[in-house]
Amino acid sequence: MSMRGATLGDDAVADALASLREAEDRAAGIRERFVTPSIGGGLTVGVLATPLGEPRATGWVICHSYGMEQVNLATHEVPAARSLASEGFPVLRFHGQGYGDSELPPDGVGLESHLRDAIDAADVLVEATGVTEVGFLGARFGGTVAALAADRLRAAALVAWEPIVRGGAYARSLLTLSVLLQLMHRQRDESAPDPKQILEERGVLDVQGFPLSRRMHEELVGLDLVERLGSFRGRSLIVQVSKGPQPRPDAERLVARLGALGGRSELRVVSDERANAFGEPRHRPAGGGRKIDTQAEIGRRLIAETVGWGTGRRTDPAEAG
Amino acid sequence: MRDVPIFIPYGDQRLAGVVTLPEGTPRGLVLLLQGLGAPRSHKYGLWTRTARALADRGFASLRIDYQMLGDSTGSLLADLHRPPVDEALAATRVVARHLSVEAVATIGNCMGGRTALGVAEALPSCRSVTCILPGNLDAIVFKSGERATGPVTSRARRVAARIPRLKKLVRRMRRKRSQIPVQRFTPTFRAALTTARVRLLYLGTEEAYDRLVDSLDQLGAPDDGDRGLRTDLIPAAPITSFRLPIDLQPQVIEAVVAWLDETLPHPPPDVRPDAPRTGVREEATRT
Repeated sequence: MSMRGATLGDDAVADALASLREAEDRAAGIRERFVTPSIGGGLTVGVLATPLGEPRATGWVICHSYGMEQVNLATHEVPAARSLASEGFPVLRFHGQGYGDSELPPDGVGLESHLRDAIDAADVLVEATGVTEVGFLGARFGGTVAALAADRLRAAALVAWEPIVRGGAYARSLLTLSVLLQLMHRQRDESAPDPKQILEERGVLDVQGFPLSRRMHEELVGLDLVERLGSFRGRSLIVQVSKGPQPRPDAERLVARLGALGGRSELRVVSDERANAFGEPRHRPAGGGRKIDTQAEIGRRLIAETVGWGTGRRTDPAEAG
Repeated sequence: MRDVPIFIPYGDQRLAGVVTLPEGTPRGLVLLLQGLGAPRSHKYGLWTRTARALADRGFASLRIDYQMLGDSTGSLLADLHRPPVDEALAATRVVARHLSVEAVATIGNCMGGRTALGVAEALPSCRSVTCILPGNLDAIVFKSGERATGPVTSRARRVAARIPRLKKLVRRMRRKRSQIPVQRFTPTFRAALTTARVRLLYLGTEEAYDRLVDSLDQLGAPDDGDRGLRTDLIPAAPITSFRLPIDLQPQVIEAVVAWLDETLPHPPPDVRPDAPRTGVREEATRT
């Protein structure tokens, strides 16, 4: 794998446009640069956020979530990348293959493709910035991928926001979403489709316009994140996003496992009335043609917890909630 | 084909975008504008795939993140009545200057449709606008809504259904009643009809599409080759939040690309694809 731009097209125009690849934000103390690395067997687009001052030794790779959550959670991940860069951490965010501006189609998306891309991205980050330690950060399914990538590479650090611990439950939620969409496209007298049957027969299921492949479904059904972790000994922060402040058994189990492997792991809870919408579209219709941001507070607290933990500064409980 | 991601200065903020360049001199620049909440590649990478199909036909394209979304900075102004036309114009001008293109086209869906029409109103070089209407008319009318069908109407329909001539009459009456009043079409949409080729690609039921066509007839839009209106239907069940089913996605891409191929100029035969470009074309703003 290597950092390289695409090689086709009108070079003169592309070179002129390339002068706009980078932007500096002096107020935030960061620089953002678009990169077009080869990741997962195809070109893609990423953004490298770096501090204007002396960088820290640890860099972060942001692992996005699956399907529509890749879009919905980016509004939390991008400000997190900028906040971490403001604190001296180089951060790479990127589109995995099958997503956003990547070269390859979404047909090949699965747990293994996410994991492969995250690992490739870590190489890109190291090559581009020279960091000596890599951490992975992700939300929901992206948190699961971050944990598995950290485990695979024996990375230095991990932050997982509301990670999917049991893939079976997540797979069921995807099937439910699919049924809802299928029902909208049927006549009243038609019966509800069986998503498992569709998946079996066609090998792919439409989940909110994104293809869920049979392989991905099988990977999810067989996934228990706690059991899959076996090598990671770095420091980790698991953030549960829930309505109530009580830690859930799955999150506690994950933290216990990370500790048992030899790392230092912390569990924090961001409780919010809108917690169930985490992973769904952030802006919701509010009447009169307007939309309102329903997750601003969740995002602010997630970033406060993450940056506070990453820098070793104690988070103000009032700030973090 | 080549993707060039860029940051476009916009006041104190920066807009993130990707320019997709075709081989050789672009036939024009196509601005891809999604609805609120989606990033520059649109949901399911729809714009990314559209950009590549456009590049295959010789078009450059630009897809941008609105403020606060994707890799852009700033705050999202989430108001259907105030589409991000200024952002789209700023980005278009920067890229058009680099490419020295003569023709600009816009494609938008939902709120993006309003933005696309707003750009057309402000840019004289915008020759073609495509509004993808995913089961709603938010891009072109002030407020969309269906006239409810009451029990009396339903009974009349059942009776009329048994008598073919009566059925036709009732259908004509119903269609007339459910027409959208002319004044509800946005001034921006009506203005675009007089300056550009406008295409409405409706995704929804045939019945709803018929009502739209009947309503549009009132506008008396010209159809003289350079300006005017064309409407098309991609049959679909009602779609919410532009959750476009996988099997419809290629149809949408094919339809918008074919339309642009038809409405934007082909390169003159004496222009070699690799001919060097000179000069920078500054764009005047329509006022």
